[in-house]
Order: sequence, then structure tokens, then C-alpha cells
Amino acid sequence: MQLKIEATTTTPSVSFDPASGVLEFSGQSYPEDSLPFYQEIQDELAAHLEKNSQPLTLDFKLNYFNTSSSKCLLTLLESVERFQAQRENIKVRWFYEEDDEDMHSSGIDFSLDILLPFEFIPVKQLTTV
Amino acid sequence: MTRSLPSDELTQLRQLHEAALNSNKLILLFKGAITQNTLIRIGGLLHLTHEETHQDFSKKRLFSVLVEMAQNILHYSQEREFFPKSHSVVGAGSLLVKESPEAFEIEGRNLVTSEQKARLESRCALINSMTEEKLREFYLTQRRQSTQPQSKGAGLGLIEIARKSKSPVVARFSEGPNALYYYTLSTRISRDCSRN
Repeated sequence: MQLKIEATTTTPSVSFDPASGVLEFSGQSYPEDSLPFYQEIQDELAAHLEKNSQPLTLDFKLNYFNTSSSKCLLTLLESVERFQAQRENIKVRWFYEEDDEDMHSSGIDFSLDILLPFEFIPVKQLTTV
Repeated sequence: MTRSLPSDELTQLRQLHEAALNSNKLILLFKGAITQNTLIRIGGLLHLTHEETHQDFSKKRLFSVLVEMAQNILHYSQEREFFPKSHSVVGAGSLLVKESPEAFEIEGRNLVTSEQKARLESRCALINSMTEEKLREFYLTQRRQSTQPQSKGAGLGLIEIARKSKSPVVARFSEGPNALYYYTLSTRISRDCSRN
């Protein structure tokens, strides 16, 4: 998977490290049209999961996303979730700034809808563009 | 494509002006097509940068509310402007933000059809009848449904506005041109509950 998307004001950076098997989303997300942005990532990811069975970690280091991005993130997680049954080696790490309760509970909300193990990691500050 | 009549525009501007004069501190008054760039500029204008929202969570909430209001106008306003350069049609409306030591007051305004008006009225009534926990469940249910292929958008924006502002969402309507209605949505973000 050759995913390397630079961050913009309204979209997060997305990058995949084949060595560690970590796909990272970092920044903020409120594009005018979220669907094409996330659809492309989702398609790449599904193609990758079809071919590779090594462990995958999804790292979310987001400090803000709007409702349409949230919808797309749920769809993306649902599409990854379908692969979990046969392999049991996909997990999510949800980073949030320790005093940002909104972001923490957004992560919890995803974990309730998605059958993937979620780890919640409070940090002092998320790096931003 | 609908353009408001000059007299309606005048009434609208007069009302905005009155609102501005009555406020403690007017920090934003915008009217026009709401493009993505407008939204980014508004964020910058209100100093809703990461450093500042980090200090003050009510500012982060203000940003969330503005993004949802702006994107609702962009997608659903009946007043639309065509941008030849990008070949896109974008909704127009107005945004107003007032600030007092206690709260931010936010108001979005645009033209809607009578069908939209009826839907918005019942949506706001439903949302305002819910507790914070109920609202969270409602948001999650609607979001789950929205990922179904046949979904036509679940109106998550309005729920998000209520959740982030932790205040009622107040919809007001007045008659506009061509059997349309001016729709004004307002809410407030209290500054003392900003870290809850």
C-alpha cells in the first residue's frame, strides 16, 4: 500500500508504514466533500487487506473532524472490520489530548460501533500542521 | 436559481445590523456564498487556530458549530451562486457571531423551501426535547444509518450543533421571496462550561 497524503487545512495527513504495519491519520478533517477523500483511502486499504495478512494498526491522531468526516470514518472502519473475523490482527489506537473530553468520547463512540480492539492514548499535545 | 429581491436583502441586512448594535461584541458578520475557502478564512479570522482552541475549549466548540452551520448553508441554502472557475454551485447565506464574557452567540441564516422548513421545525423540536445522553444516542443511530448505501444524508449537522453548544437550537422563519422562507438558526455556547 503506497499511501502518503500530505495534510491540508481541511484534510489530515495519511501515511502507511509497511515495516510497522501502521496507518496513521493526523490533523483535522472538514473538507467540503469528505466522500472522495475517504473513499480513496478506503479502497486502497481494502485492496491491501485482500493481499496482506500481516498485523495492521490504525492510528488516529485527529484534533478535529466534522460530521461528514465522522460518517466517512465510520464507513472506513466498517470496511476494515469485515476483515477482522478471519485474521484478528487489526487494532485501532485513538490518540487524544488529555484535556479534550470531546475527542476522547468521539473515540469511545466509534469503539461501540466497531468490532475492533480500541486503545485510548491520552497525550499532552497532538502535533498539527 | 433564486436571487432575493433587493427589499428582502435590505430587511435582512437591517436585522443583522440591529443584532450587531445590540450585542456586546460582534466578532463576525458574513454574508454571501459559503465556499470552503470562506470557512477557512472565518476560522483564521476568529483565531480558531489549534494553539488558541487548545487554551479555550469553548473556541473549539464555536469552530465546530460554525463549520456545521456553514456546511448546512453550503449544501442546503436555496440561494445559490455559481462559480465558473470551479464549475461549482454553492449555497449562500449569512453567519453572525457575538461574544460576551458569558457566551458566544451564533446565528446562521439562509433561504429554505416550505418542505425544508417543516422538516427543520420538527427536527429542532425533537433535538431540544432530548437530554445530552439521548442526543448522543440519537447522533450515533443517525450516523449508523447514514453509512447505508441508500441514505440521503442524516442531518447530523444539526445534532452536532446542539451537542457542541450544549444549548437549544432555535429555528425562526419569516417569509422570503418566491414562496421561500428565511431560516435563522441560533444557539449559544456558554463559556463557563467550556471544559465539561
